[in-house]
Amino acid sequence: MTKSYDVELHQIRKRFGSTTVVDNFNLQVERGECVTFLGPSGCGKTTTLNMLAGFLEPDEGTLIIKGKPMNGVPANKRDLGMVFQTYSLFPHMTVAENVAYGLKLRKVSKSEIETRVRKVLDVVKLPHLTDRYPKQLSGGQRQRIAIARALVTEPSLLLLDEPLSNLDAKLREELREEIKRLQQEIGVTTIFVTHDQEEAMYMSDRIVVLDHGKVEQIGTPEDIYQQPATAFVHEFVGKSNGFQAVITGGDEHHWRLKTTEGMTFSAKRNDRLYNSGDEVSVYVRPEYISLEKVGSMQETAEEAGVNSISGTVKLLSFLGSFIEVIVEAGSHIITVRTNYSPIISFAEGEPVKLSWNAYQANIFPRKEA
Amino acid sequence: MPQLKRSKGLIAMLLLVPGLIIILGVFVLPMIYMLMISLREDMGRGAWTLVSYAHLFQDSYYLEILWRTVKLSLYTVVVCLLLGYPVAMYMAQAAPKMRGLITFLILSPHLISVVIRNFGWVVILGDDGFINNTLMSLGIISGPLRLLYNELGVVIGLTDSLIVYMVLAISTSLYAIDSSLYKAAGILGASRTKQFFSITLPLSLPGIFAGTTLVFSLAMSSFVTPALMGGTSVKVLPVLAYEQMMASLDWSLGAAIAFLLLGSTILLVTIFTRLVETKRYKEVFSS
Amino acid sequence: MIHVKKRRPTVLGIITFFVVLMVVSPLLIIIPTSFTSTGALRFPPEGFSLQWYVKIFDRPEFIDSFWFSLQLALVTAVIATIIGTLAALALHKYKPRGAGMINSLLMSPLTVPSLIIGIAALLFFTRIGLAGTFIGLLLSHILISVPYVVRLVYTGLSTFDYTLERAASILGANSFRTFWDITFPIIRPAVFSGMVFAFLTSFDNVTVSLFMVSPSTTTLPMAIFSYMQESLTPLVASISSIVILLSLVFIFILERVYGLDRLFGSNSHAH
Repeated sequence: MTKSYDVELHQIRKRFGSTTVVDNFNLQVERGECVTFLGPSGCGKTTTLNMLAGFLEPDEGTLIIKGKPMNGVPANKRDLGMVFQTYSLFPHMTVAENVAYGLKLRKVSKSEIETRVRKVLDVVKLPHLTDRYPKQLSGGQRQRIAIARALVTEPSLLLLDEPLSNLDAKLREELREEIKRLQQEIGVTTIFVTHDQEEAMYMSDRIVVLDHGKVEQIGTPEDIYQQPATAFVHEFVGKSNGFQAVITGGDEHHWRLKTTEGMTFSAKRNDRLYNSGDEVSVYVRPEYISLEKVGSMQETAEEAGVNSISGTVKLLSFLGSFIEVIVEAGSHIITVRTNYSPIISFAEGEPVKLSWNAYQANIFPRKEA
Repeated sequence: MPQLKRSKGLIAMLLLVPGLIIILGVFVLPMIYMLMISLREDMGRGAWTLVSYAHLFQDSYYLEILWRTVKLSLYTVVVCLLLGYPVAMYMAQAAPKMRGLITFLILSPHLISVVIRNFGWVVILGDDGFINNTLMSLGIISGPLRLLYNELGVVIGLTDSLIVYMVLAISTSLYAIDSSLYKAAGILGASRTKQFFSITLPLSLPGIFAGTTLVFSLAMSSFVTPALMGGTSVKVLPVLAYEQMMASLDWSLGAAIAFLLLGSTILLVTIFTRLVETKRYKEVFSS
Repeated sequence: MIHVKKRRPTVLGIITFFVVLMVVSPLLIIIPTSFTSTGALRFPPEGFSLQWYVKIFDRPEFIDSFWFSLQLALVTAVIATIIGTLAALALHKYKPRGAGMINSLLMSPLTVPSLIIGIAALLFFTRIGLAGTFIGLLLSHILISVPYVVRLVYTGLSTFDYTLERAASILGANSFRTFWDITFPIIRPAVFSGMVFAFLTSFDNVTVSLFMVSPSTTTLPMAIFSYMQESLTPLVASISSIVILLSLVFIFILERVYGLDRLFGSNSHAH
């Protein structure tokens, strides 16, 4: 190995009974990086986190933290920090006692415990709560204390298990900002588990998208959004319009295809090769589709590499910074997101033309249903 | 991981060992040994025999005692049900604080020895006790009523100590009734009485049945109350078993009486359960 | 809630009042009776004197059996609490194979009448030489107390959040520290209630003790029981009053720490 990583997972596999919950998981995390495990429930993200924490042992593969193999090492000997979804503050201890607990176990001197507890409570901006009990705190305060408790031991790795999902929306945004700031300031290597894609995008340097125990894609938030590696990633991250289609031909830049409803599209070529007759799925993000009034001045002529279809506006939803328009085109229902403009407004029932560039359509082999 | 799982099972077993030793050594083995003694000659070591049981079933003296035990237990169940149901209903309607107070008042005497409670009843029911003195001073009666050392005294004592089980069993099932059912019934035009018979009573059947079987089995095996409040004239099976064990020292007969008591209780409870748990009842209440 | 009617005493309210009175009055009536100045056991009592309290000291069997019962109940409570707590932890935390069966086995002494348990234990203990010994008596009391402790601690654990144990272990605590620092302090009220309940179970018991006691190991309820069968004097009232007051202290502690209704809550197989 030329480069040293803080966390290395090599071909981790875990079964519960006959179901494989984590399958061949490989990952290297650099020092100071924040990596998020993202996926729907049951995708194996929490299981993997529990294996990192030492609550579960992998059936196969090696797990290395700071260069030391961790297989068989119990949780209490791994020197980790962890924040749980349910806060998990010890109800019979005050805030100060909760935060000090890990230091006490490490036999740190009393005076040093006091200074470090005070310092970390300053960092999470709750220095005045030392003598309160967890019951007397709000959800957001509890989670800050839990973060303080996890950080005070200066762990080699910080594990965050859906730490924000028990909080309400406003608090969630506030706290995720705070966690990101802390993570960057302290520079602690962090693994973050969530099912919330926005949270994942916001928090992470890299995202690992998981489904059914398999890694679908590892990449920066931008990669994940713009260049989804699989149909699952495209559907799971962000909004997508999906079409079932068959390859009918292509040139060096594009594939030509025909949807099951009979429309013809072109889509950009990627690394994958298809033959005529291959069944594929095509995805286009709603914000890449432009919407025009039929017969308007701006109506553009058909050009190569541009797909265009006509349809009728079914439903308009004003969502603040943008408008979501549901358009019925033949038997397709297509979602379009367009910037709100007071000049061009659409009405429900109005005929419209939809168009998007071929390079903004992603095609994947058809998923087995 | 396989080791982890095995070690977890091992820890569990280690933690369970002391408890299981007590249960096996002081309960399961003794029960088996007692069965042997009742079924074999020479303190469980000789030939197999049913002579102790035959003795019990051939002598009308024992059967009479069995019948008296069953009869007194049934009386107790009926009294507990008639008095306990209204209490449970009252608790179901009461505010939480009141409910807590009643629960406390009927539960806490239960934590004081039955010997002492029975003594209290002697003071209340005796010839020179509270009731007789009150009635005589009011001139309602001229001589003391016999309230103690007969079947009445035993039923009073048993009701006092067992009604708590009936009340708790029924109130638990009453608490579980969705109050919107009464609104629905009221809107449909059902009167209070009608609501009681079409909602409250049928939905509290599980509580009634649980309370009935519990009170019945506890009454069948109670020893102290019949001994202290029934006197020598109201002999029941547990008292008989005690006499056989400690006075007559006929241990194989004592063991047989113990099993007669256990067996008849289980048999009667099973018959009761079979009778009341109709197909429809099971469909409604099986979880 | 059915129909909340306020103020006007209802039929249900009146019946409830009488039932509560019926349950409480045997205990309440004992206390004034104990202060009677005559030798007759009658109510209402005549005069006022403390002579029946003084007379307790003439009967060493009551004093001795009182101390003996107290010690027996204490030892029973401590041992039953340890055994029962370990078993409840094993069942709730580790959920071993056959947990349901083991649980019913642990609860089985509650499903068989204690009179029968007493007879069986007497027969078996006679065979193995424990009959009439302190150990035999103690073992039988532990047997009937353990199920209560198991049930109370198990119920206490049902609201325990095991991620707290994970939180402690990730902070560096081994399983022993995790238990002492986290799990035990949190389930302590349930364990303590189990202990008080075990104490009272032992302290009150007659039906099992009946077959276990010997002249040198007589419990207080047994002494009162035997005395009552021969003579009924206000002496029983004075002794009982002391026991009632002592028990009330424990009952209030139980109610404070745990809530009495939870002790009896949802039990289809009590006793």
